[in-house]
Amino acid sequence: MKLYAYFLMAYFSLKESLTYWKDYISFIIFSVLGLVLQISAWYALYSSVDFAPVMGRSYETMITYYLIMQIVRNFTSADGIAGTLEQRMSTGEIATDMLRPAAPRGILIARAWGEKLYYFIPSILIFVGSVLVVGGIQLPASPGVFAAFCVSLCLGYLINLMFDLVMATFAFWFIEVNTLRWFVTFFVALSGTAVPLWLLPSWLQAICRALPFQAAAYVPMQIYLGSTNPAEILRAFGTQIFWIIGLFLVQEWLWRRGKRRIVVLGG
Amino acid sequence: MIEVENLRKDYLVKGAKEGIFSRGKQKKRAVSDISFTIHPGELVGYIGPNGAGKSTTIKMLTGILLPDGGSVRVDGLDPFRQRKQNCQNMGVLFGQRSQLWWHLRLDDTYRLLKHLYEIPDEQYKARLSVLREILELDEFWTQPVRQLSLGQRMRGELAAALLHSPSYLYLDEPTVGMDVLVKERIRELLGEINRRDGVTILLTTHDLEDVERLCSRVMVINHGNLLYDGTMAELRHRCPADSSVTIDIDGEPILPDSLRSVKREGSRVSFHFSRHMGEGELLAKVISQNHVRDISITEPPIEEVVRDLYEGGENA
Amino acid sequence: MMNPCKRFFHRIVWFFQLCGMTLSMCWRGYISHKGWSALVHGIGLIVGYLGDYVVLYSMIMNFPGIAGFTALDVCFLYSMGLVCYALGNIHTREFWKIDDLVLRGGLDLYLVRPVSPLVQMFVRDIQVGYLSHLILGLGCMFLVKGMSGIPWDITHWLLFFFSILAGSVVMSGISLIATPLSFWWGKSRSVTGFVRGGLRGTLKYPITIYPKLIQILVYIIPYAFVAYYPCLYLLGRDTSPKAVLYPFISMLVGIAVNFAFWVFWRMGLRRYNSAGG
Repeated sequence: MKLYAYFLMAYFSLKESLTYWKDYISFIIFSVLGLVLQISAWYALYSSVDFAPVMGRSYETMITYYLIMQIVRNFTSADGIAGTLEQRMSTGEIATDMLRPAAPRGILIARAWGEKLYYFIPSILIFVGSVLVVGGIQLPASPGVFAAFCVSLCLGYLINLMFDLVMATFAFWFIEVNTLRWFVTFFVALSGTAVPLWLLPSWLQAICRALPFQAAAYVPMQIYLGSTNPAEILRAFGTQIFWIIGLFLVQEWLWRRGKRRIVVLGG
Repeated sequence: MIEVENLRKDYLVKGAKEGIFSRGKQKKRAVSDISFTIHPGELVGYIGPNGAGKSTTIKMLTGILLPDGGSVRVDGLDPFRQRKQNCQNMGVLFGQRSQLWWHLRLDDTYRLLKHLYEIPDEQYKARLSVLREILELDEFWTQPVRQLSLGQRMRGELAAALLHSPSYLYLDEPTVGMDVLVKERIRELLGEINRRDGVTILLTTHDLEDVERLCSRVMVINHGNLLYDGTMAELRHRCPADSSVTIDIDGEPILPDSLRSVKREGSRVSFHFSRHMGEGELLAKVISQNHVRDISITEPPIEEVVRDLYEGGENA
Repeated sequence: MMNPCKRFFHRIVWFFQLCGMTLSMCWRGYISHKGWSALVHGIGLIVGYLGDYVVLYSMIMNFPGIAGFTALDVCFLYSMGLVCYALGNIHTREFWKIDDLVLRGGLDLYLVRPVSPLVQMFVRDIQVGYLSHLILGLGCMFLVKGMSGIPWDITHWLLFFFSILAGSVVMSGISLIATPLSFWWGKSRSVTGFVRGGLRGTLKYPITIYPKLIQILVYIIPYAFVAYYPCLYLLGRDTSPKAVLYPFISMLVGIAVNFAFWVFWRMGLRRYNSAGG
């Protein structure tokens, strides 16, 4: 019964988003423009080496990486739940949220999914369009690999979600989430979403691999581009699950401490 | 002197969707052939329901909107074509929009206004001390505007509007959102400003009490038409709304049958009474037939008075 | 009655005094509002942009270059864009709120004063926070110059500072040009967002890599003249005499865009005067 309520919330959020069709169009134009600029850059870079492989990866691999990464990003993003939670905390609405039968975090996630679906559909269309324009991309080594990729996407989403929830709890201690974001942006930039980790200097790569961010974006990509070797895939899953559990524990602990603080402060 | 003659303003409003494509444009007359004259030193109330044309009129008086017909002259100046000159001589206060800088103190905004209006130093100092005294700004002079209460902020806004010693002050819903005591204070201050400096004040408001307490003259507008322009007393007199009489009677009351809306509460009897319907005799009868200990007459609430006018205007 | 020369000079002085006054007010308001978090915010911003730089540099350093620009060159280009963005938008923030001002009547507050609403809006919300962008961008440009070791003579230095000025003028014009749309369309966020946000991405790379359509776009909404053209001579990518003229052409383009904005604004204001909000 409860799960159905969350589903309804997602549905209504989607309906609400549909009224803002101008945003829809803006989103499409923005995405297409960004794509055009970045692919032009990759094309120009590879033409300077006459399309030979760089760091062992060909131009086709690079383009595949970039296009698939857009899908990965859209799917696994946590949709600014941290910001919304913080905002609700500052206005005091969080108090009413806590009184509702559904958990406040659950509500936010359900709503975010409605919005996510709204943007997912055009991003798929844009993806298909881009693939046609660039003339095809690399496919996964086997259907099994593709299935593993999809699973990895879901795990990646959970990692981002957990991390965003951790950030959101900082609002309990009146730390501005937006300022924190700037610091996080630095590391997100090193998560493989903007540039594949194989292009970074090795010392930087080592640092990135120790962080959760690449587990949400780069790891799924590795599976997609990787071989059918089950050991590799399982190791990738392992990394992701490690981060999910770790971050989950951290945010639960922080959330509980924070809740107590709210009660003490009286909202 | 404000001279408005045959003022007219039309808006183009998107009509209802006819067919799939066309959305015809309709002309809506916001202000229709309004004429009035306001002499220096008057304190005039301008009332009307939402969408009546109040804001549109004020905007044309202050040079924000260009009239489609007729003319506006303030001290002989066209507020639109001679905007800069006219602005020097007028102050405007929008009830719901603040002109004060939120995170700073009042005097920061005032210094900026001094520069914008190019007020000479001596004049500025003298004027500011007068305003600080009248509006009692010293109690919160050192606090940032964001920490002020609504009443305090409004006093600060008034000072800002009057800093350059304008001859005309336009107020758009100045008491909205205030509680009764604060409203009273603001009204007192406006009255005092009008008396001391002879500033001509035009006040638009929804709160009829503002007009009642403050304005000697009231203009009523609805659907772009000026329905009434005269004194408060005359307005009451014109309106057939009922007054309410309450008498305290010793013993059993003897009341004529034709008395309307009779209510009894212990020894008190109240009923409706209308001067216009010639019920004065009725009242005299009640008094003569009973041992009346006390009598009080309450005038009809101004809302009723004006509502009749509004409705009258709708039928016009 | 002063003679026109004296009056003009007086107006200039008055304007600079106004700028000084509002700069002080905006600075104090900023500090009183944000306090110490302003510093944290500034640092956070720099750290965030550093991420961009790391990505940009590591992307290109694995290749010989992009359209003849090395990784360091591209960082220089990006920094020039950043600095011009900051300087060019110190005074435009109030115009970003034009939707709200027109629809909710905030614009009227400006129209009832004896000063042009343009002037009032330029000084209303001076962005002191952009100091971080300036520090970062300039710091980066000096770093790149040091690392690349290209010798700069006096011409280079003069052109460098002039390019910053010219690029900022172009950037401010671009920021402003779409804002009067609100007078007709009400909410014009999508268009201004595209012009000010989306297209701004073209500043990252040399414009020669883009498809023809985009290249034409960056001439019309002249991002090409913010960083790419002025930097050609400074980075030694084009040492022909005409390259020295590019910063001056940028300045002309900048003046033209701002002039176009002014004309457009006056049209919009006239409409506001006749049709209301």
